[in-house]
Amino acid sequence: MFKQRDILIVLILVAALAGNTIAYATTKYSPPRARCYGFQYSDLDTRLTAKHGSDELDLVGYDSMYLYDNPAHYAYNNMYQNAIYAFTGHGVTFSGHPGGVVFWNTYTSSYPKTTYFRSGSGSNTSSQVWLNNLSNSSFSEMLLAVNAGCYTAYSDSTYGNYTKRMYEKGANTAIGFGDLVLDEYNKKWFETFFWYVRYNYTFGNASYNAARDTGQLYDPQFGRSDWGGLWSVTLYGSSTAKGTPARYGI
Amino acid sequence: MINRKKLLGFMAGIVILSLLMAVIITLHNIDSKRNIVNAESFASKTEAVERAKASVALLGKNVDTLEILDGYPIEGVYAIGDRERKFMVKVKKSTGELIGISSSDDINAHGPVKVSLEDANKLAKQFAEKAGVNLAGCELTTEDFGPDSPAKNLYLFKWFKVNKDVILPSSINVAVNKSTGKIASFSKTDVAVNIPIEPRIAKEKAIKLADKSLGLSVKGNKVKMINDPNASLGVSVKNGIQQLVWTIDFKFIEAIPGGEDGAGIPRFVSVLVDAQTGEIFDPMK
Repeated sequence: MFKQRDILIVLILVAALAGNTIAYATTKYSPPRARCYGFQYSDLDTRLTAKHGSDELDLVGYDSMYLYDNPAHYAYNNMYQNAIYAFTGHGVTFSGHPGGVVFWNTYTSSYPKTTYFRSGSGSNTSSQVWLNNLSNSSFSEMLLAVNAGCYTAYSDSTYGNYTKRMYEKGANTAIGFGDLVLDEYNKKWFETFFWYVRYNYTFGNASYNAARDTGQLYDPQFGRSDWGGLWSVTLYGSSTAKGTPARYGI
Repeated sequence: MINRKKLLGFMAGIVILSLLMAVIITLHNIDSKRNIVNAESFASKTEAVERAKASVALLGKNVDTLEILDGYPIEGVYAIGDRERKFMVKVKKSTGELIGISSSDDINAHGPVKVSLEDANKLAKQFAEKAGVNLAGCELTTEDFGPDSPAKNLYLFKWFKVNKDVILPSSINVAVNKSTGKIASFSKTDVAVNIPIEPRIAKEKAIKLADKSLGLSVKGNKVKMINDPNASLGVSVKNGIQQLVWTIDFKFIEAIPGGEDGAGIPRFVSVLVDAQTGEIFDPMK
């Protein structure tokens, strides 16, 4: 015979299980979410680039959106829901040390126009959020994180490596650039990368092919032969994973 | 009565008008014929796919079905792939010429390094020759991908044509898998240069002009140079138009006004200076 205490334990266990399921359901949306962030900085406009990436992901079944000029806080608060998170824009340095990216905000007056998504540790303020303040499993359902900007995958002695940290926090695959990249090359790489993803090429193939193809397109126009810095494309995690069918990471 | 002079003037006017009409019609016809000739030189999709199949054979592999993949972000190129996405072939729309091929399996294959750089170089050369590429007059560089690069398992050999220290818009890239020794990708750009390659503008002047166009010198401590500007002389090609240019690379960190912790934006900016006139040239326009 069950005692009253046993029934209580079973009820608690069932409730705990149900609670987990609810938490799970709130982060895994169907179709899976993809978010591409672009910006109109004073010297660079990546809004259409973000739209191109988003459009490619939309074609293969993601609930895909491009977001313009949002503060870093918006991405920080919502990216745990994303199967694919993608940023195209400027990297940032602090006292010369690479350490994250710039989110140019004209979307809301609640935050300053220049906001930072930073690697390393510190306290979140109205102008900056820190990757390390997110829990270690924050991106456990993220299939892919793309940080297309200068030094986004640079391993710095003070701030660490922004893109690698995303992988360490659970993203199955995280891609960035270890060096400086010419703006036009960076934008074309982003568009071409997501085109390859749409056609079911692996993330490793897509990132390398997009760098090579962009170099082949722009090197003759710019009178150069070095892919404009795209050779520094860096990938953490699975290079053989694919973006299709649309899904969350595991 | 009609005035004789007026009548003659009227008739002369008609003759001139007729002549003008004839000239316009002739020019229109010439233009139409030119368009037809251009249209005929375009490779059809069928031709492009056949070319792609033959190119896959160059890699020593066979493929049954190849299809043109829509929406490729690079204009003027057919991107052709198989259903399993094992291959990607790029064919120039205007001529049907093969400009790139890659094998997904051989890009992805990771394993212990079994092929030396020297042997890989030989394999790359052999492949380039098999693909009908003449490497005479080319300089070779070997790209060093980082340990976390998606291409860390590849040797990349880049040959580019140089004449009198001028980088010409012709290059060949061959990637060889370090473990299997197989060709992972091949791409080429080949443009015959038809402009003089002796610059009127000296390198030092080109750097000054480029610096002035960015206003770097007047920004003082708002800009911290990562290294000195790098200048190279090359031929730029856009829409078939060639121009001898100084390509001046600036790498710097620009302070963000009011930025926290000395925040700055790392920048890589390439300014192109026409090597004959000194004008700043935007390769994107």
